[in-house]
Amino acid sequence: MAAASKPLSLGRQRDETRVRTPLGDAWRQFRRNRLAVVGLCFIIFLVALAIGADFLQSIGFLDDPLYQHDAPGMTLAPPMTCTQDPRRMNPQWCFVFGTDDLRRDMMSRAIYGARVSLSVGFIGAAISMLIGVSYGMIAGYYGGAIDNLMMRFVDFLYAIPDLALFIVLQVFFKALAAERERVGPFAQVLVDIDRSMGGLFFLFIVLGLLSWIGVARLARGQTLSCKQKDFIEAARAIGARDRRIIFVHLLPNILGPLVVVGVQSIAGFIGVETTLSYLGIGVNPPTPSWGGMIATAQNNVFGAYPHLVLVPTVMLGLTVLSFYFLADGLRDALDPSLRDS
Amino acid sequence: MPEPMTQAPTAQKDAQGREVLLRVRGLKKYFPIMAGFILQRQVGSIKAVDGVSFDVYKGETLGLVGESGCGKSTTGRTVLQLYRPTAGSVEFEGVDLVKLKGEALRRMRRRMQMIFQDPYASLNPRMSVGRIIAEPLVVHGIGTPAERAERVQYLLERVGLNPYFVNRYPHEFSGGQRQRIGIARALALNPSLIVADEPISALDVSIQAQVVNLLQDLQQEFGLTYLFIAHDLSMVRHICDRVAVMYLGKIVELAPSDELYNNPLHPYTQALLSAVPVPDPALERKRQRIILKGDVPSPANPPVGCNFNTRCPVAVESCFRDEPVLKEVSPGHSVACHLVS
Repeated sequence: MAAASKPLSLGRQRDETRVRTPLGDAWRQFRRNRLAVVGLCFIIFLVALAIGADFLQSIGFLDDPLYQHDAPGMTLAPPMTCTQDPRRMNPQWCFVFGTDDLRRDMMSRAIYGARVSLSVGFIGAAISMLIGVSYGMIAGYYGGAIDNLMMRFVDFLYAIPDLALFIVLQVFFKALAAERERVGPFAQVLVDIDRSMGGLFFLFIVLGLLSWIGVARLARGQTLSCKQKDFIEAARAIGARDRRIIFVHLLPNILGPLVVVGVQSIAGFIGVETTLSYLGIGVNPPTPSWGGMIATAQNNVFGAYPHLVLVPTVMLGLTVLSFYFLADGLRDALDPSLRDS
Repeated sequence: MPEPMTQAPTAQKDAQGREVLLRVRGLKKYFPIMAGFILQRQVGSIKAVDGVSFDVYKGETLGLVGESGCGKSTTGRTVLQLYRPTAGSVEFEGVDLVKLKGEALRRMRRRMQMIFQDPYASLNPRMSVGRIIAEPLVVHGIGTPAERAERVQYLLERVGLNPYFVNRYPHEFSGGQRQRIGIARALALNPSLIVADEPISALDVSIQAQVVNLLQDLQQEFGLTYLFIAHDLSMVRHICDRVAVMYLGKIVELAPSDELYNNPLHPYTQALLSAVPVPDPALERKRQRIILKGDVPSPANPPVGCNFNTRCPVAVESCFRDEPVLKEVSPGHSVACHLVS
């Protein structure tokens, strides 16, 4: 008798304790968007390559991106050519994607270049989210005169054309780095940090300076609308402090659209980094970066050697596209109004 | 009315020896109307609550009725100091809440809680039911996590929900179930006063009775005092000991339920009650509806004299000149009307 009723009650219990978390629902929704899943996979693949680049080099899959091969009889090699490698007692080294004008392996440079692009994308987005979300939430939550003052300042910054400011500031920082011996001790420390990061440090500062304003506006708007909801009032009626209301009640409920914009902005940052490197004011020249590689291609007859421009642009295009697909999938997944529950 | 047990030394008694839990005197809440772009200035104010006075006795249910926009919800929220009043005093358990702020007010919130109208908006969608109900305990640092979990289970059971539901999220529940979660949250701290802001008007009629019965059971069990805000007059008669009728930010009539329904004295109350259908065909056929003309005047610019004079069918000259005060015409029955004395 007990055996007969047991499976039935077990089945009911499982149903009652089955939990559908908001995050689990979002993941189920996200999986339905094929392109977003493909984008996520490509990004994970690229991040793995970029992080594991040194390991891949140690097992002989990648080359040192700075090593200039001695290729007799030609200035640069097209894809799928092989040459002698004197560093390894003359076994062959094959250039899958060819070489550039200084006879450096293109595939290695493209993958090491992903390190620059991805770190600029992720850190740039992290900086802009951190500043933008806290700025926007403070303005939106406290409201009144504080909000008015803070948002007028944002309006002022919004009027500055950002790419032009990026260029001016990068030129300024490059000049600062070139004049290291003549600047003050504080600036010298900054220049040293920047050199050790291959020119990335100043790039982060420049990008972080203006990029947060869009996020701040969005965060403020979301905070304003969420603040009106009854559960915020309920939290206050319970006796919750401001800090708890902001972090436990407001933030998780406005995070969805912010994450979408954050992921989209990663693609934007990668584009800006490529632009600046292409113009020669991005990362310092020996450090491989996609924008720098495109600039190199321009200086050569790339009609004869299309791989010079194809390799970096295809990498750039796939990466940017992946981030946009990912953002698109996240928007559907994180917006509860689009979900069937 | 059940005779409440006296426990607090601060307890105040009225002339009949009943213990006053909440004493509201001259409560006003004006919302400023601002104009201007950067330099904002106040151009007027919406007089949502304009001089309201009433007592709530321990263990009773005081109904607050009136049409939309008459200030009944604002009164409830101002009593709980969710809105800070413009003027007046709110004495709760002998302490004037208006004079309290910060930590002292936060500690008083343990004793008074709120149930919200919209059960879909009053629960944080990112928190599990267990966390929602335990939140008041967490906020006030009561108990260990294990004790809180036990209390949450007890409360869930008490409001008629399965204790297995602790890990579920609000979107998995129906409106009635969500309202029960909101009630459990309000009960978590063992409050003495609960302001119920139209707790049943967002629910299906079939669910309304269940929730009302639950509220009544809980009142008996925990000795709760309710300030019950509603516009469903027959429901109010069923659950309230006394009823206050509000019009345009003021109380126009205050009386024990049966007295108010059998002998309404204020023309507005008469019009309001004439709209309630009677479940008796003979009486229903004889029922004469008093149709009020026009709309409620703007609370930003209320009429001079009695604020009901624009719609009152029996207004005389003095109604347009002097403001009537709420005065007791028979024991426990107060009216604010020049024509009643």
